[in-house]
Amino acid sequence: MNFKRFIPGTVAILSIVFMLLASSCQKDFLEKPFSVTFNEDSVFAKYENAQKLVFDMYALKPYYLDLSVQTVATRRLNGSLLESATDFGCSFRLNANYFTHKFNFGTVQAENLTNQVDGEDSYPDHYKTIRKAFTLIERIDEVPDAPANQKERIKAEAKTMIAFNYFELMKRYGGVPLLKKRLNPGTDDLNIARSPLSDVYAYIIQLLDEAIVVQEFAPRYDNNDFGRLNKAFAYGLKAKAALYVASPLFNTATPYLNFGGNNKLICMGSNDPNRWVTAAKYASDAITYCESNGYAIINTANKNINYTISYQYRPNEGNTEVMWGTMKVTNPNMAYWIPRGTPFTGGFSSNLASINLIEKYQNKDGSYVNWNSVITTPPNDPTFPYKNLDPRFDQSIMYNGQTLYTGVAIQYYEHETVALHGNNSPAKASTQWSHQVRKHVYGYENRTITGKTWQPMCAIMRLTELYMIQAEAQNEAAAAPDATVYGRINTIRNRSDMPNLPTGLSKDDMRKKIQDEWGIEFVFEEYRYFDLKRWKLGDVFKGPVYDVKVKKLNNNTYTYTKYKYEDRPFYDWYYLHPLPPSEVNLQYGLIQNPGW
Amino acid sequence: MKLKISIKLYLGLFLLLGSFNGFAQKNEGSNAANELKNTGVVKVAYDTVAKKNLTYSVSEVKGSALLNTSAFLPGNTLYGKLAGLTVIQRTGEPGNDQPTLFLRGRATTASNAPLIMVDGIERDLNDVQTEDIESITVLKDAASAIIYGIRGANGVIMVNTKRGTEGKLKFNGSVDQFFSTPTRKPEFYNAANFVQLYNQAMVNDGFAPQYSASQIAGYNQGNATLYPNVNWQDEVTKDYALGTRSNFNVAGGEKIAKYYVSLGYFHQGGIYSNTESNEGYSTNLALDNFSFRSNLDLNVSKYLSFGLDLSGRIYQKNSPSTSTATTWDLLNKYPSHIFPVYVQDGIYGGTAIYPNNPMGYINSKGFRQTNYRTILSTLYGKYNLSQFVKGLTFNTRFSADNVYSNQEGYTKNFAVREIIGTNANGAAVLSPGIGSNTNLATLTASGYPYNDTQAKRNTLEAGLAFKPELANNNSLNMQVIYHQDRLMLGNETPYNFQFLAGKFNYGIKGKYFAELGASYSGTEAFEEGNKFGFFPAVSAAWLISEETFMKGSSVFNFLKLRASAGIVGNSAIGERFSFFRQYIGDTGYNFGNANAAQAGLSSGTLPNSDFTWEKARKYDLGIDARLFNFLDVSLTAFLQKRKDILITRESLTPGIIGANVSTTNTGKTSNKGFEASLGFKKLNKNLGFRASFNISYVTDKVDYYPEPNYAYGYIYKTGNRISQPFMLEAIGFFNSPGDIQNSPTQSFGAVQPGDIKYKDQNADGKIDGYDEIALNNTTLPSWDLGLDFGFNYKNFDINASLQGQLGRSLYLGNEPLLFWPLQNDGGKISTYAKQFWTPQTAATADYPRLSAGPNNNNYRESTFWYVNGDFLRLRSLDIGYTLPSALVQKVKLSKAKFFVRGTNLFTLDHLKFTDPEVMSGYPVMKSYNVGLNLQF
Repeated sequence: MNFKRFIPGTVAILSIVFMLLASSCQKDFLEKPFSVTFNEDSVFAKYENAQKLVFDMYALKPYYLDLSVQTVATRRLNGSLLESATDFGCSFRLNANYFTHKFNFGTVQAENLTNQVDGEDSYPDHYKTIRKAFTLIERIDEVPDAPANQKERIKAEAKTMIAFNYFELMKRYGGVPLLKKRLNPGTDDLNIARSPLSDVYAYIIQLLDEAIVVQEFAPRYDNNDFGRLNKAFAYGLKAKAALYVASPLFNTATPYLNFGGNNKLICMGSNDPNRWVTAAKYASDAITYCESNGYAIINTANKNINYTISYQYRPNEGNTEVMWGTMKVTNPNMAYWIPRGTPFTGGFSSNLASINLIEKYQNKDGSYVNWNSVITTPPNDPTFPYKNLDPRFDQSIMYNGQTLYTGVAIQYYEHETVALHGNNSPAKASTQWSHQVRKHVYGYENRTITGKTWQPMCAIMRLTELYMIQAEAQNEAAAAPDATVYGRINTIRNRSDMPNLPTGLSKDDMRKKIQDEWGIEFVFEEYRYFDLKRWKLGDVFKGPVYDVKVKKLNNNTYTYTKYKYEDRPFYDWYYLHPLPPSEVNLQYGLIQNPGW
Repeated sequence: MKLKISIKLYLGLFLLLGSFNGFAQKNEGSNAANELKNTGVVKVAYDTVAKKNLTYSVSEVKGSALLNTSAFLPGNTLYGKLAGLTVIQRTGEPGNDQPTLFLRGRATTASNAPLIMVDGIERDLNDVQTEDIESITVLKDAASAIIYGIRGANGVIMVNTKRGTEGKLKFNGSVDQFFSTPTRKPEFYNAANFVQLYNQAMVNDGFAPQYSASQIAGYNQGNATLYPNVNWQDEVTKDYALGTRSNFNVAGGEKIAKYYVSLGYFHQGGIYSNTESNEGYSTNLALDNFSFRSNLDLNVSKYLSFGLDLSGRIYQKNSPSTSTATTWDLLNKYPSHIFPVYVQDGIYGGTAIYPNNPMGYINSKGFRQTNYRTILSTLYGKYNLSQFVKGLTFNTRFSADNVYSNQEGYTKNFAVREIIGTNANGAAVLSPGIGSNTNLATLTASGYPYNDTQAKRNTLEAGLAFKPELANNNSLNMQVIYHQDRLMLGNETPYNFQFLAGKFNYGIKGKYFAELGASYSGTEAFEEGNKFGFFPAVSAAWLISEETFMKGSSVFNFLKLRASAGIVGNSAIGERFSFFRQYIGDTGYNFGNANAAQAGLSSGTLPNSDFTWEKARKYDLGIDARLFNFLDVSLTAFLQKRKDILITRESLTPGIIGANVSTTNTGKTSNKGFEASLGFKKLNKNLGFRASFNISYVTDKVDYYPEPNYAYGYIYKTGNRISQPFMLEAIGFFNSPGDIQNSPTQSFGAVQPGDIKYKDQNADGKIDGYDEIALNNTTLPSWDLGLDFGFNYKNFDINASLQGQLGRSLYLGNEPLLFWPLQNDGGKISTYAKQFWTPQTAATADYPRLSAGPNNNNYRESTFWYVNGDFLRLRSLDIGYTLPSALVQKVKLSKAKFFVRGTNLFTLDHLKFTDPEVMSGYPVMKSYNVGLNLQF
């Protein structure tokens, strides 16, 4: 065989075989069998699917009682409430990594606050919800089998949801990028700078007004629809947004830190007393609307439970007050709420209450317990100091000697004889303080007694709040506290067996009373942190924060000794949240708040 | 001119004729590490070629060099054996200790794992029995791995098993026994020291001391009830664990049929103690493995031959029901001074804060069994087409592998009790039970890969090989291969891989070789129309020593220059199908009085419309030489540029988009280095010495990583190593309040004298996250060293293997239980910390002040917590005595050898406190073997 002849022949044969092989290859060998594929068009082709999108719009709504996750590290604030970053509380101290300690140590960093694992707020989540809402507004009309009234309702609902998220952003960050439609990453410019605070506020009011005029948007949704947004909430949110921009933090031309040309991002740009008038009017409108549509302040004969009903019960159980409640978990994990030590197993004491809070509670006669000197009880009477306190105290706070559902009294005391330390005492169970949150545990107890499953609810807004808004705004708007101010506050106090406020209070005195009332009525519902900032009372965060040491003596008397637990820092830049540094670093116009 | 074409072929995937280094060298350490010899043949992808003609960058190790350790998994025999292969030990836990392999370092943020092919089929390295390995070849450059195309970029590890050769039956059996003991155990201060140190920590933090003078006195005196001093490690672990290993194989054959059949058993025990206290089961770790292999070759006719390979194993591992990692964390965490192991007979000590008494955690939580059953089978056929075209062969191959694994077991709980005092007689008064004793219950799926899983892989291949014998010492080697395989892993969407590949190699006069290879290959992961890529490579070699001007050189017996360049891909990028977007079920929310969950539906991640695989351009340049007839030298320099690395874009798109954004194929890296090997061999019957040494250096760099704009240039990943750590730079301790006053403010909590002081990199007067800069090495070494050497003197031989890794660092913060004492009120202080800072020891302190709090200032990533991770380890030492052959022949044996052997006998490193590779968890073991090997 000649070499030159040989090569072409071989190549020819090889090529033929090669082609044969190639053609015999399984051409579809690599194809992926797609199972069920849904694209957006198929979602809006059917009401059933579109409704799922509506449900999903709620997936990221606020729920501070999230007890579904057991791991500390991945829970918002590591299982503590935001009160633990205020003068009212403290997070479980044994684990000093718990998030809210960072505030109290002054070590909180921009990265911490907004991280999506255990941070206070996940900034992008608000925009995710806003995107879902805009998607519904844009496309719900296309759904062929959706009833017309439901389409209108869903659009109003989505607008309220957008307004609510912008409010939550505004309350934390000031002015934020204001999106008025769904962004398309391919065609839209994503470089959207922060809008002035006043524009964000105006857009919130605009959206809520658009929702309020919708006939199909009902004042309330009950039974299976409870938890969906309604028109009463839209009314209420208007008042709440107006209250925030009327309050000192925003209602100014000179913000808490000079931000130069960007001042308008963190304040309204002027001090306008009329904003209080607007807030009072919106609150009044909202109360009128609510009360003519079946909402009422709970006032049953049992004044020791009215308060609990208002934030814990569902409408079908007699809660006529709740305007929007969020729910997530059934029979949640209570580890972060219950005390350490027998009879509780697995408690973490993550939500502790300070004496700074306890001191705000009045006795039923309007007087105060003096915690500044050592209190010695009669023998075998551990609850002596607490006996005559505001019934809301017993419903909100766990204290030494209190009998819970287990029938066993809480024992926060250390005993003169070391071996007899109380089960829940710091020395024995590493409970750090002598008071702890009962407010949300109370529902757990109640359900445990009655054998029902417990489904905790976060009352995002209840009628009581509108009363408080109106009282506060009216007090600021008028020259002196008028009958409306007294009326609203006293209604709230009376239904919990507390006396009227003394008459003839000055505007300043009344302001202090109203602030204390906010603190007590909404304690452990994450109001305090934002309210103190709204009022520009940053110094209150500094404390000092106090606890009491409870000691049981061999003669069976108890002593309560107040002691300073810690001083806490508060820097002016704390007044607003930092924006996530990861977003700021993208440099698309998101300017970091001053100081961070 | 007539061409004389031989039927003697080197046939692609068939190993039938390839094995010249056969059975005879089995288990003789002194013939180990044959890789440098430029004679003989080497197995490469789908081919066996003469080493001297090779144009690729490959390294080879013979199986006989891997038998000197007591390691069970083949991966653990590879330390330092192959130039360019970095082997990272992860744990010492029997059965779970497969090492992590890197071939030429890191080149991507996705998987760097090399492709592992056992007898040409992708298989788990763990499924091979070390005794069955004939050789391992690593394919390092683009040219050698080109056939694998889209999956070739991370390199390929080819494991070739033994086959029978013509000749009489040969039996080879060995049995050995070994015992293992941890290389190092972390040590902790005892109870008496602890309480004093703890008090000091409390005082440092501004609190009152926790322990009173009487308690301290009590601990100093010691009292098993009230003032215990428990060394958990000593209580729950034994000093050593036993193991046994044996393998019997026979091989042989004649013209028609050849066979290699092997059977092996391996057992290794765990070091937990008191594990036999439960009736009916043990809670100790115990690994039992039976392996078998049968490789048959059958020549049916002059043209047609078949082969059938079957192998499999039955593996069972017993362990406590709890996770090993948690168990070892408890040993490092549980205090020695609070409660004894048992407060009474059969009652574990513990408190509400420390309810997991480690003794109980191992022995009273039930047990778990992990089982594997594997059957791997390959059937191949070869048809010699010489009758049509001389030198042409048709090859085909099918394989069916089945790997079944499951976990089963029982779990229970135990109660602990606390000693709350003593009664008048001095007996302990116990608290009520904390937790409860429960009965055995079936281990459930939660948290464990409990469900049975099955992995099935089927391969189908066909190809043509053309290797005519040309005149004038010219050569031609052509191949075309079609391959498809499908891996079904549980209920995941199947993993499919398909290629059509070929190569064309031409040699002129035995001096100049050039090869062109190409692969058209794809996987299921990518979009229709974008599933396949075309991957080409070229390589060439010049045998300078064959040139007339070099002939007869007294220095160079052999000298070759080789170079290669090509593009290969990596499709193991951690994602599949990302080009597609669908609406997916989402959490929804709960509504209504009954709190009813309503399922939601939301848009999935926005699609990555350019979703593709990584592409690596690789360049290699090498010299192979043999000097003075005894020294083999090989030098290779390489460069890789990789692009289209998948980068998450989440951090690059404004959050206001309100949707999950996709990843993007935009990352770029480069990776470069060199490898050098030296081999030396002087052997004769009575006195001999051999050594082989390899060293490799590799470094990598991020060429492009999409990053936002940072205020400081040093924050960028781009330009740094892939996985470069960023940290604060510690510049000593604060020595006085004035020192703190005059230093930049550290924003991680209040500081006091004795705390770590950091450098203000950006000079803004504030120490914060922006002062973290790229410092220290990565955990992956830059330098890998391996030294294998041996002597023989008459009937004795000694062989040793050393491995070293340099240019790596250890981050102690990864093991806070060991190195960050009392962080979050831990119950122990390790003796790693010796000279704590106190005002008196300020000048000599090597550790910050003690603190009982979280101390976020000290306990964070900084240079202070980085330790040089370089180490040198004696991986194996083996001393053998072969009985005189005159003696053994009397009992019809051809060879009988006794040996003693040690694995991981010593380690030189900087950490010293614990093992430099496995700082915590089940420890790395050193082991001692005695054994016997018989052949006839």
